[in-house]
Amino acid sequence: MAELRVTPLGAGQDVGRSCILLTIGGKNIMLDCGMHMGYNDERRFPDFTYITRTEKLTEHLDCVIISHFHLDHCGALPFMSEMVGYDGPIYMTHPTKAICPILLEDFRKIAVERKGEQNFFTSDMIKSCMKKVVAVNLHQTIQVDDELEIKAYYAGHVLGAAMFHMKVGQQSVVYTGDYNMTPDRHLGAAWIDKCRPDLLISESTYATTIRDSKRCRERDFLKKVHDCVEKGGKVLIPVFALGRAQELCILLETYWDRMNLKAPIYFSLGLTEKANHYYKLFITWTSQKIKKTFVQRNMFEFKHIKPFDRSYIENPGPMVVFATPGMLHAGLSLQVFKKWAPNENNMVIMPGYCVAGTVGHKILNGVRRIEMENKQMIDVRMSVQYMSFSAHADAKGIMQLISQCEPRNVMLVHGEAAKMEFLKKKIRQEFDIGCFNPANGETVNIDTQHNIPVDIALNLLKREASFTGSDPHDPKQPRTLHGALMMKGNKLQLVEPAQAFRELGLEEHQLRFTCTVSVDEGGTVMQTVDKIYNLLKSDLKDSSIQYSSDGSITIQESVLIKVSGDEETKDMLVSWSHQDEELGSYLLQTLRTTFVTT
Amino acid sequence: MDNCCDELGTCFKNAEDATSQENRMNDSQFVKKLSDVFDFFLDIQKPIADDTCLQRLLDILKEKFSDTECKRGSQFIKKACEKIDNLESSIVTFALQLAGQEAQKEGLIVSRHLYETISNKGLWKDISIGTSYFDSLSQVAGTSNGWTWLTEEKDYVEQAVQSLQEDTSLFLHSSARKLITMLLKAQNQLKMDAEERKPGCQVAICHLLSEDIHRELRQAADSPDRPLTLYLENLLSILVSSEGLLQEIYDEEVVHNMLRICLGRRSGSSSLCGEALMKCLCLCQQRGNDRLDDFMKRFLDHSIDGLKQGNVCKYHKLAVKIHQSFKELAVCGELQEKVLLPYSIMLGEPPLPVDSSLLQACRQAMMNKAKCIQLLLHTTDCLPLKDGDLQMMLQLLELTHLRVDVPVADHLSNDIRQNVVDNKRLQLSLLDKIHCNIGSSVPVAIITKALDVIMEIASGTFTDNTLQQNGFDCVLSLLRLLATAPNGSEHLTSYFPLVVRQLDRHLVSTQWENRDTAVEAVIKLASLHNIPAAGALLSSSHILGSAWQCVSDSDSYVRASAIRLIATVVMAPQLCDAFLSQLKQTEADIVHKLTEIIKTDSEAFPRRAAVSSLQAIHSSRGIPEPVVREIFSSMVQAMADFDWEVKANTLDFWQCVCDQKIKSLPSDVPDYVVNLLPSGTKRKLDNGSTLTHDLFVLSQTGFCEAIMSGTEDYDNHVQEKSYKILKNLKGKINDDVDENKLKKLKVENGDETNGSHPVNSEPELSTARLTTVLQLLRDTDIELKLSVLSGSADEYSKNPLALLEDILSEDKDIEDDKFVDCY
Repeated sequence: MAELRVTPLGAGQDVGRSCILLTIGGKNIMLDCGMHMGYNDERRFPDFTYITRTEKLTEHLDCVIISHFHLDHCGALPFMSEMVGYDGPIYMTHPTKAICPILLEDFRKIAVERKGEQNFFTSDMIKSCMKKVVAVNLHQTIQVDDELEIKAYYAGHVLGAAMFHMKVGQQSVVYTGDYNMTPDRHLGAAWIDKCRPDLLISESTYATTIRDSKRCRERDFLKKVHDCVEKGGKVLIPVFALGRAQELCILLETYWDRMNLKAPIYFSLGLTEKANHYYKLFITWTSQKIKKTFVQRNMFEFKHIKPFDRSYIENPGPMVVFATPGMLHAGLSLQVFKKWAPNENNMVIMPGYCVAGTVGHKILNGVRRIEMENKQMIDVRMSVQYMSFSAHADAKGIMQLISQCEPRNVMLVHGEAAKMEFLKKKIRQEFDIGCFNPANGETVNIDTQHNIPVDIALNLLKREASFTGSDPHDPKQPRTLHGALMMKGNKLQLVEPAQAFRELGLEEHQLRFTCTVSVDEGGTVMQTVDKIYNLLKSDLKDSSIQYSSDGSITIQESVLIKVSGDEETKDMLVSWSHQDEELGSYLLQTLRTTFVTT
Repeated sequence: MDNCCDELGTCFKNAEDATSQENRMNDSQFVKKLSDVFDFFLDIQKPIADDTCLQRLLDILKEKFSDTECKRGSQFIKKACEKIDNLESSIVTFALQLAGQEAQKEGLIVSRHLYETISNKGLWKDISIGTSYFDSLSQVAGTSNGWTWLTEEKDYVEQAVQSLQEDTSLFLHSSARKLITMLLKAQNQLKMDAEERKPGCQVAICHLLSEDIHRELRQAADSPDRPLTLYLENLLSILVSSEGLLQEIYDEEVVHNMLRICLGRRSGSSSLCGEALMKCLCLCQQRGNDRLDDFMKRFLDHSIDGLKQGNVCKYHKLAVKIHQSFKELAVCGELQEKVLLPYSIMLGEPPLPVDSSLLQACRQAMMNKAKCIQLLLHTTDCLPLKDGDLQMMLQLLELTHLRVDVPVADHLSNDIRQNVVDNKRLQLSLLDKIHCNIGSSVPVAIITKALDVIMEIASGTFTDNTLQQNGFDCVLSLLRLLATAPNGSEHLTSYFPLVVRQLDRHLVSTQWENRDTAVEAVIKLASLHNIPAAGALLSSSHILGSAWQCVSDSDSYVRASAIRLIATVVMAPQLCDAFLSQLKQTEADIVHKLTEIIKTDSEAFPRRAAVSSLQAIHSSRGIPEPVVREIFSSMVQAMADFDWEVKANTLDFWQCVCDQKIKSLPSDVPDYVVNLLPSGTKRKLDNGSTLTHDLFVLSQTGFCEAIMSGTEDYDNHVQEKSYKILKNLKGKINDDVDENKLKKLKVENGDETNGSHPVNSEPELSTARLTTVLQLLRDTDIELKLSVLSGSADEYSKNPLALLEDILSEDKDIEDDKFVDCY
């Protein structure tokens, strides 16, 4: 039995700081290398000392795989590669490699704003880290080394998100990262081969939820925005540079076109301008609809959405502004919020989760009076809306993926413990397979079946088929096949012994076993031989039994029975080759029981 | 004046009183809210959605644990003990961590009760509670009373040991190990302080572990095929971090068993055991060199009896470690031969006087690719970079590059050779070693040989970027050596064009990573300009111009690197002149290009680099007169950039401008500034009012506009930097700006900003802005502003009360749709 070992350093029964250590066929792989935004000290990164405290990480890790560009999956990467000192291979898809630095720069800024933070990486470190990354295409098999190969599959969720199939010998594991089984406005649904991995490591953010149609949420969002601007109010949508921002932009752009609305929509630039550029560049990674309409019109070329200038904050009249960062903890979005919050006609829509310690988190928790710097108090009279547009697979989607790839075991990560427990039971019930949900630091060992593939010579198979004759065996039942096992390079071959002798230049020596049974048996020798022949004929119906003119009986070519003696006693000689030891022993035993006892 | 000071003093005192009163009020609010939060914790039934707030609360309480809060904390711990059976698991862990903090500050009275409750109820067996439990006890072990208590109450240590035996969680193991290590450390310290004090209970910890260590080591050594038990791994981990325990368990059997484990056939490394063995050997040496020699004899003999292909890597790794740690050993020569064996086999050196079984085992092992690379990497790691070693490394590096004309030792099996071809890990290790260790004593012949080999390896079109980068780093180090070596300049002349040709090729690579590495290499090459031989070659080469063309690259990182090249080139006037003449451009053209980038480049990296390069030009060569307006105006515009770092870099530029202008004497004012000044101001240059003049000169640059924009920026960091510049300016003025000075300024400049005449012209605008800046200097408490801005943007650091409010607001039902998903 071979073994898979999985230890989450992050994302084990929680969300944030995804980092899962996998040992497959003796290879150590790190799946994602994320950060936790809720902390501003070393706790925000996975504790790499659990991998090794004394030696270089590269000695212990064969590769790192990043599933997508969200910071909870890639935020610790420059720290690990440039500060801790990992210099082995890092794999991610092309869009992830292109977009990752934007998010990492966003994070670096947050670190600067928080002050007193140590151990945060520089812009140059992000670049150095990205230069080490090997970008992969979907469905491209990458040979990491002589034994380990990886393959990426489309995961939806965000641009460039991928599920990875890792294989060493016969062992294989699929890691989903975050994925979405239903297509949305700008991305398609996740898809994977029926690869039957030994283990499927799946996210389980919405483990217990069947999400309502996204269309309803979209309608709700558009209605709220429309109502607000119609009343002359301003709508602030704090977003991170990428992901939801683009999806919401497409939504508003189409709606504005359809409804012929005139209120301006602005998008704050900075590094985010690069984001839209990448959405245009990686159009093949987007949804079918966007790809199809690309020739007539690129969906990311926005007609109604214009770049924002901070002087517009004071402009009278309605407007919609997308501003970074997404949790209202600093920067332009916070500045706009401070200005607009006291006006009850205005609205802020939070399209994603906000970690504790941010203004976004406070207002979502219903706080309506917020203290800003210098003891300045802000009364939040504007409407505060939360609308989750995050694209994760819900319970139904997770079950669908399991059906699709037919794993032998499932491991749930990236979710809440209680919800995982519920889904775990359901998976066990429905699929009758092992399901695990380790906490961070817990190690799960999973035994896998280890088969050794053998090539079988055609003539050997033909011979075997000819033995079956008109009564073929059930093809699903195991059968014994005799031959010589040869090692050729790294492959095993089962061939005819004669062929093996020929190829190896060996001389054949026969090893035969011979035994004589003396019995008191009356009659002639030929009578005894006839008796034995008839006995064998009825006992070994499927075997070839030949009666020779010299009075000997040959069974299956190699077993020989010869009788000699006088009228009173007979000597029955049984001789067989070592290949037919089973048959020889059986015949010997039959003769003994038949003739000695009688 | 005295009155004024008194008033000011009273004013400050009132302000201080008000602040302290406010602080007291906040503290009392905090304590009240804290009680509410603790009550809330005792009642919650389901885990808090985002448990980071529990950690954040602990952080705050750690820093801010006054008597009152401490009292609340103690009450909470007591209540938690009473309600332990109904307490939510995350709250139990919170209470434990709080108990640890409290024990450190206030003693054990309350915390002890919690530990006893957890212990009696067996709750420590739960992974998350157990982890916090041992963490908390580790904090207790750090105090003298706590240590005594823990060593007397043996249960806790036994629980920790029990946890280490079970396959539970890395985190739990780590906490349990931490507790034991803390206790052992404290015990060791105490032993050192007073040798005679060694109560029986303290001995018991060592004794308990010592027995287990002996047993586990024996069992593991006797079963060389089985993986090490988790318990042994944990014990070894404790052993390597506890000197006292090591002394206690040390004997020949332990060392022998450790050696057997290290050389065992089990898969995977036994790095912890190796580390423990090395510590034992240090101890062995401390107790007399004879013992170490005995061990070494056994170790070296080990190669004779039963060294197989399977454990030769482990044997070699250990040999390397011993060789590195004990250089003065009597058997050092013999050991080195064993260490160098993989290199010798690979390079076909004359057979070393090592025993044939080891040679055979090593050769067999090297037939396997992974083992071959491992053996060569270990050897490379420990090679001291003497000339001979460098040559060996170069030979090996040559073998890694697939070329038909490399002579291969006759006896070297093709299988072994194939194992190293194109092996990136080995190539990187060799390049890294050469780059970091190559010294000036290396003969020119070897340097040129190294250049040949490395350039060959780094030159491939599809060469991996990391390899290319390390290769160029090596090549540049070698060129520097060549440039300074006696008789090296001739070789430099012949190699320089080859390097340039390679760089040229990589500058147009299809991969942005390779182009960027090439531009960075050109920047490093340009930094050789101060070596005369290299300087001349650089000046005559076109490579700087080629790299500068990357300013139009499609990738922003590459563009930024090409722009940064300017900052290096301008530092060397001759090089800069040659660079400009090659490009057939003037300095003004380059400045123009940079300002254009600031205005038009769609990405922030090039804009950041352009601002920095302009600053470099400004501080090294001065701004060329024809573009002075352009540069200042673009730097004013850059303050409205969307990227915070562009603005931060721009403020560095304005800081330089401010420093330069304010210290200038009228006679030092450059012509272009005089030309820029309004006519009214020019007249006043002669009236001796230096400060006024300097400020006017500064205002004409756009400084005031830029700095005012910075003070109003939405990025705190930009605001902070702007106020720092203002603070600096105020320091230079060296005087408080009063109303009279402002009035004087207005009259001298003929400025009428009181609204009777509209301000139209650029100089008038500048003067008006100067007045605004001076007003700001006069009216704003910059120190106060800076103290606010330099505070953390983190909501909870700024206002701990907010954290308590957030925790309490969790009480409300969370909408089903609100998920912690991703960011």
